Order: sequence, then C-alpha cells, then structure tokens
Amino acid sequence: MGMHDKYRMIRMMPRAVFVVSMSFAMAAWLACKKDLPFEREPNDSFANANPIMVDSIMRGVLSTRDDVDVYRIEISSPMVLNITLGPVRGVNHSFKIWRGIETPVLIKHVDDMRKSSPESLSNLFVEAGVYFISVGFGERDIPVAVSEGVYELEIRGRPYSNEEREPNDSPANATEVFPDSELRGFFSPAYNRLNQQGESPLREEDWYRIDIDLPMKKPVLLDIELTGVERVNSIIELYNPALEKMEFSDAGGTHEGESMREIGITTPGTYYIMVASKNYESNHEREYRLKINSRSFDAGMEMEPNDDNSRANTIIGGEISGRIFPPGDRDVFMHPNRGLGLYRMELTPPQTLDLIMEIFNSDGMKLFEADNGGTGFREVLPAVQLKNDFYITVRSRKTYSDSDRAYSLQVRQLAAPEDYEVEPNDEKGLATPLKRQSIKGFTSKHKDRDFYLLDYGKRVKILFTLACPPEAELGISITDPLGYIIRTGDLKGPGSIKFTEMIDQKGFVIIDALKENYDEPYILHLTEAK
Amino acid sequence: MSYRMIIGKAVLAALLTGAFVSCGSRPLLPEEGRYRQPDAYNFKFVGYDADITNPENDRRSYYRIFIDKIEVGRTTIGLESQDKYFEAKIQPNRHLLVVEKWVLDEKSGKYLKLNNIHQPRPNYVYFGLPEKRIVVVTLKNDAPRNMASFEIDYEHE
Repeated sequence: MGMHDKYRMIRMMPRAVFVVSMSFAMAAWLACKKDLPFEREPNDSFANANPIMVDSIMRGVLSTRDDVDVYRIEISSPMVLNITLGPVRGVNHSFKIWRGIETPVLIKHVDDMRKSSPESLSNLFVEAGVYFISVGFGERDIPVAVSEGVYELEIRGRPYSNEEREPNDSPANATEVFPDSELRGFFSPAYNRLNQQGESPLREEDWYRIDIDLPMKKPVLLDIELTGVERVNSIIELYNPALEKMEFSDAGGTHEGESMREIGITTPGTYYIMVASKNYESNHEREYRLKINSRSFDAGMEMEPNDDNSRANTIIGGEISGRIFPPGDRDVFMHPNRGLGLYRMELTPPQTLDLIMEIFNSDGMKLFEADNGGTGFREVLPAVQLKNDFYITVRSRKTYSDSDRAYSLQVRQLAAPEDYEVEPNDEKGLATPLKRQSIKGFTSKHKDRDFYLLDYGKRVKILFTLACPPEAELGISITDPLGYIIRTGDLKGPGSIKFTEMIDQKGFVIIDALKENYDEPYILHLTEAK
Repeated sequence: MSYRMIIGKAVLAALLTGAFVSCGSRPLLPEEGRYRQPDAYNFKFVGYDADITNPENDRRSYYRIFIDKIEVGRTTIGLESQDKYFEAKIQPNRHLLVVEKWVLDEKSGKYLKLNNIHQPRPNYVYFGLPEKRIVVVTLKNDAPRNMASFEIDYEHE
C-alpha cells in the first residue's frame, strides 16, 4: 500500500464509521418495532380485551370497517396517564376510555376528526381499578380498513401532583381547587365528543370547583389567572353556586393567558371555574397553570362583577380603586346622596389607559361625562350638582385594558353649592341664573362653555370682572336678550379682566374655556356701574 | 271825531300797547317749565335709519357711544329703522359725540362693527350742554346714501 492509498483510506474512515453506525441504528429500531407487542384478535369487546400495561406501547390494526380493538388496563394506585394513539396514513381513528369492570362507563372519547393524525390525551386521572381503552375509527370519515396501517397505542404514567383530574368536563365532575393555590392542566384532547350540549358542543372544557366560606360574612375578592399556552387561545368563565355565569374573560389572543381580577364573592358556596380553548385548539405537550388568589374585600377596592347599576359597588369614604380588565370592562359605582349636592369627581387612570367617566342617575339617564384627555389623562368633573343617589361608570376608550395597574376614583362633596355654577349650563336654556354678585365656575370639559343668565328687569350698566385661574385661558361674552353676542374678551390666567356693558333688562354671560384648568375655578363678579 | 271814537281809539291803543309790552318782556329761551329738567340723565342720543324700503335690509343694530373720545356705553338694540336710545349724565360743557354702528351677523350670532365705509357719515357732532337742560342728539341716517344728519334739541316735558 502506497502513501497515497493510506491517505485515501484515512480520509474514507469517518464516512465508513457513519454508514456502519446508521445501519446498526436502523437495525436496532426495526428490531425494537418488531419487539413491540401486537394486539391479539379477537379483542372486540370488554370481555376479550387485550391487557396493556402502563408505560408500554401496543401495536394494532383496524382490519375491518367495523373493527374495534379493546385494551384493558389495571391501575393499582392513583396516577395520571398520557395516552397517545399514533397516526396511520389515510385513517381517521379515535379512542375511548371506559371506567369500571362490571358495567364500564365511557368517560372520554378522543377524536380530533382528522385523517392521518395522532390522537392524544395528556392527563387522564385514574384511580385504582380497571379501565378499558377501545380503539376504533373516527366518526367523521367513512371507515377505511388499511391492512398495513399499524397503529401504536402508547400509555405513559406519572404520579398525580397538583393538576386537573380528567375527565373534569362538567360541573358535576369538576376538579376541586383551593384559594391561594396553583394547578396544572392541558388543553387536551382537542375535542370532547361527549359534550353534546351547551353553547359550544364538542368543546373540551376543564371544570374546577372552589368552595368559598365567608367568615364574619365579609366578602372576599378572587383573582384568577391562567397562563398562556402555545397555539392556544384560551378563555375562562366563572359561575356562581346556581351555575349562572358571573364573569367571562377572553382578553388574550393565541399563546396568551387570561385573568380575572377582584371578583367579589359575597355569598358563601361552591363556585365553578371553566377553562377551555377557542376553536378546538389543543396542545398536548405544554401545560397551562391556573392560579387562584383570594383576599378580604377592601372597601377602597372595586369588587367585580360591577358592570351595571344593579351590581354597582358603593363608594364609601370618597375614594375607590379599580382595574379595567378584561378589554371592554366597565366598572359601575354608586354614591349615596340625599337631595341636592355639589360634587367634585376625579378619575386618575394608570399611564396605560385612556379612561372615560360618566355619571348617571338612578333611572339610567346620563347626566355628565368626562372624556377630555388621552392615555394617562386625569379626568375631572370639578363641580356637578346631583340629586339623590348617582352612579359613576368608569370605562376605557377603545378596547384597552390593564390587568395590573389600578385607577383611582375620588368623589368629594363641595360646601356652599350656591357659590358655584350649576352644570350642565352649556346652552342658553340651561343658563345658571346670576342672583349673587359673585359666582365660581369650573371648566368641566374640553372647550367647556358656561352660560349665565342676567335678568334685571331694567336697563343697567354692569361692571364685569372675571378672574382666571393659573394655566387657564378664558373667553367672556355678553349677549343681548336674545343671546346674540354684543361684546367679547379673553384673558390668560392668572389674571383678571374688567369691562362695563349695558344690559337691556336681560342678557347672558358666556364663559368659554380656551385652555382648561380642571382644578381651580374662575370667579365672575358683577356690580352695577355708575 | 266824536268823543266815543276818541275813547275807542284810546282803548284800542292801550290794548295794542299792552300786548306789545307784554310780548316784549318775554325771555328769548322758552320758560323753565317747558323743558324737562335733568334727573337721571342730561344727555340723550337717538339714532335711526331712514328710507329703508326692504325689511330684508333692516338689521338688528345698536350704536356705541363715545363722548370726548371715551366709550360711555351703547344704545338699546333695535332694527335699523327703529329709534335706539342712549342716556347718560355728563358735565355741562361743549362735547364731542362720536358714534359707531354695530349690526347683527346672524350667521355668527354676533354683533359686528360696520366697516368704516358703511358707518354713518359724518359719525360725529359737537354739541353744547347747558345747565338745567337735557340735550337730545338725534342721528338720522339716510340708509341708501349712508349720509347722516344730526339734530340737537332740548328734551321737552
């Protein structure tokens, strides 16, 4: 062997080693496949079911159009099974889980209704006893027996630990959860063929139950959080003991989680949480986590659900916080009030939200609205006169929400209401009568306009003085009895303007906000000029 | 000439002389009681437009009043064809009255000062204000020609 041949041999060595290694691997794999147990027909009924062990794989063939292969599995202690039926080209197959030996009860039917795809159930909770797994054709397609189409039924077991207990597909068999706990679950299988009722038939639902006791009858607040799972767009629903839907969360999109915050529980009992995916999405590998936290109700924090007047939270102590979540959430608060009262309201949003504050009376009629700024802008109704109890609604412009950061709502009753304008007075017909020498007015909204009525019954010359607060700009106009403007002026704060004008028995003063200061009032002073 | 005739002529002459004498003793200005005495005001301005033939052109209006170049107020509001008044109490003296006409622009809901070329011409008058008299200055504006004429009088009882 010459030098050249030696060199060539050395160069060829790695390739040879690779080819030989691959050959051995293929042989081993084929040998393994060959060693896997194969079903023994007939196994078409519970009586002649083939035994199968946990942590094993069974191979089989659906040899005729009505073939069903039944396997029997004996469980000695509680555990969780991951059951996978491997794909068979051109075949839509499915499997069912049965519990009990005397009269087996169907507890799960796993069928994704697709050809050539595997079927999976990630976490079937099993207790000691006998279970059956029957493999058959799926319901959607016409069964086609493929003699060479071998399936593999794989069963893996693991200890149970803080997770859902499938099947937990209805309130009746909901998995119990506890306040301040966390557990895991899967959006698996894709379909629940046994779910034939409700608003979403065939939807795989995971139900949880939580028993809530209220010591001293003090309400508690629940926070429920569901982590995101790849390829899944999830939802959460919360039901009261009468199984009436209390809350619904569908804020996140695909891969994203969901949460409910400050859900107020005022009645003890068993509540239900339902977790599901939208559009029959599933993920058999990635688990979700469901966290439930509870805390005592604090009168300074909103209590969901408070989305309408009938469920409004009462404001005690003049201040309350809340969160706008999920998108579209609206929080309603009731403020008790006897007779007429003048109130200042201030809504401080988190920096992420553009909030709107609306005031309604008990008949649901909107009286005032504050929507003057954008994201993070503090909305103020500086002085609104309100009769009897009133309702304040807080909502977000557009569909933005913030599950973490809270807004703050302050309501303060003002003394000496006769010193202030009476909103709404945005037009002639609603003008505040000027019966005193001085009146204070506020800018209540962007480009606010306040009308005041002058009615002297004779022709008088009036000296008008308008004091403008800092950071503000105001316009002042005096009109004839019909409301046509005779004189106008404007000023910047801090400062004041003075002028005289004849009033022919009657007239109006109009104050226009050219630049807003929602915190401090302007002061209009009138005296008869000589 | 008979005695009777002489007596008659004498009586007639006496009557004529008496009448003449009584006429000659009267003052040149009217008596005090014939003019209104100043009270709340001693100056009055009245302005109106004449010869407006089309109601469409008869706008709501008023005049701003400047006395001695200081704005002292405005008249009442009325149609251009109507009398619009302004009253004030000012010191007896000779004064300059300047007026400024404003009309309603219904589109904007505001009274706007008429452009100078549409203001009454002339828009001023000098007048004397004596003690114990109310001076009435009347502006008559010939609307089609925009020519103003001022008339000065004392207010009568």
